[in-house]
Amino acid sequence: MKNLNRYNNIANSHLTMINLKMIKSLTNEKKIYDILHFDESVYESCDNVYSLLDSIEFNLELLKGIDNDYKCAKLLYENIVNIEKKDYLDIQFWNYLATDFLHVFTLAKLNTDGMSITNYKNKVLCKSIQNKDLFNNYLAKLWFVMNLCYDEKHKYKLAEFVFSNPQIIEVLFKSEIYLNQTFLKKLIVILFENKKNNITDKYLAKIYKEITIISEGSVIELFDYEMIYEII
Amino acid sequence: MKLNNRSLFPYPCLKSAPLEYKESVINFLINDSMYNLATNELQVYFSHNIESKFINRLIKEKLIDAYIEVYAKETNYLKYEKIIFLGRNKYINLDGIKVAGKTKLKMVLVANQKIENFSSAEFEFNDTYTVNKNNIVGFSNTVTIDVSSQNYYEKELISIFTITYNKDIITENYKVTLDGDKISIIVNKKETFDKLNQVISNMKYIPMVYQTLIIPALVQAILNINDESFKTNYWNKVLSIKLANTNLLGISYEKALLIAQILLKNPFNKMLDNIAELESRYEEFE
Repeated sequence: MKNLNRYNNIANSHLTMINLKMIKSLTNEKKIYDILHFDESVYESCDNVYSLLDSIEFNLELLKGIDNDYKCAKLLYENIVNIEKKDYLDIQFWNYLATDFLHVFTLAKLNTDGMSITNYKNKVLCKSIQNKDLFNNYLAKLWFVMNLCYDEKHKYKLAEFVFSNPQIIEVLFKSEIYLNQTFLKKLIVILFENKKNNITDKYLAKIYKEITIISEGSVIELFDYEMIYEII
Repeated sequence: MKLNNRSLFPYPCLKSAPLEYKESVINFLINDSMYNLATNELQVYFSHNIESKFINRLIKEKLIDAYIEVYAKETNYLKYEKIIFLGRNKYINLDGIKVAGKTKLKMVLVANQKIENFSSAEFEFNDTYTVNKNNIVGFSNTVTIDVSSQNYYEKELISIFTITYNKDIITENYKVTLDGDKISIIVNKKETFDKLNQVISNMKYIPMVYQTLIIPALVQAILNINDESFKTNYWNKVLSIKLANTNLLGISYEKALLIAQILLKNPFNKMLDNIAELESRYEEFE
């Protein structure tokens, strides 16, 4: 209940900026992204985020014609790669990004036809930085998956693999396993190198079950590649 | 994973209450924590007590490693900080940005290799077990700390000051120097120094100390913040962060005084309130 109230407070503070009534009517008229705009007063409460966005050069034109999550994520990550930890751990940043700076992008990616305000809130706004909520927010999902998968050795290959198997995000990123980031990264590397073409829902469910059982009595974060390989 | 005293293991696990062990327990305590806004690090001082000869022996034999599990729900952050059992002042440095809000800490003992004959007279049930690598063989009570920079704001600001005694300083009451890492308030009379320490120990007098000693020193520091010779001093770094959005070029004394009062959250009013409260108590006593 406490969390729900907190979420509603956050969500409402953002939605007052957007003018709820306008969204509703526009949603019905299927023109939401043409006219959606913000009240100037919002900038006062988001000074930090606003000045941060000023430093990001994001060319919306580049987004035209991109039709898959991986390419969107790559573009988003390349443009928002240098943000500081305190900013990417701020839900206001993602909510602001989704409802103002990149709202055209967000709404184009979501089918908002006839979408209710509650659904809109759920798809666009983060309730908290908890992974269950975080990965519901389209932009945050793209960026955080990329942030975990990108490294000098694999570059964007791991992310491409994860986005081509969206059930990995559903099962591994949205669960408690995501908290153990070192473990998850190693697991993705092993899956990529060994099971690239054999990822099925059933297989992921099996791995998830195994990891859950093992994590009951072990610190999985400390597992090395060899130990993780035994799980898969 | 969520560990508590009801968690079951296929072998005896050392906990904060003697359950699978006859008497042995593990306790964990946070002694102090300091947030450093200059480095954005949270330094957490802790102490622990492993009342098990068996486990202590395994630690000595390097079969078991000790970690501090840090879990911050607000930022979805989980980390295991390895502890090296050296020295008395044990502390860990945490990333002050990734750790925020109510943060749970506990000590977790983990086998760093397979232990075939895991057996001890300390066990409730005398048997021999096998413990695998990375298995948890013990965990302490959980301690929750509130990591909010606001909580540490005042503590951190005050950490840039130091009050010292030096009989060779020529001054009427006290002198402020900015040469060191901290802003030094130096008194030249031992009696004054002792009295000051006594006053500082009473929270009720803190606003008075802020108003009479800290604010004049802070004003002096703000007026000299752009002086190149002080740029690398710790106090300068901390103040620069706190005043990042303030134009301090050619700052006047009046503005510096205003900024100092804002930084210390207006101790003048608190001082007046406290004096009034102390007065009324004194009258009651009379």
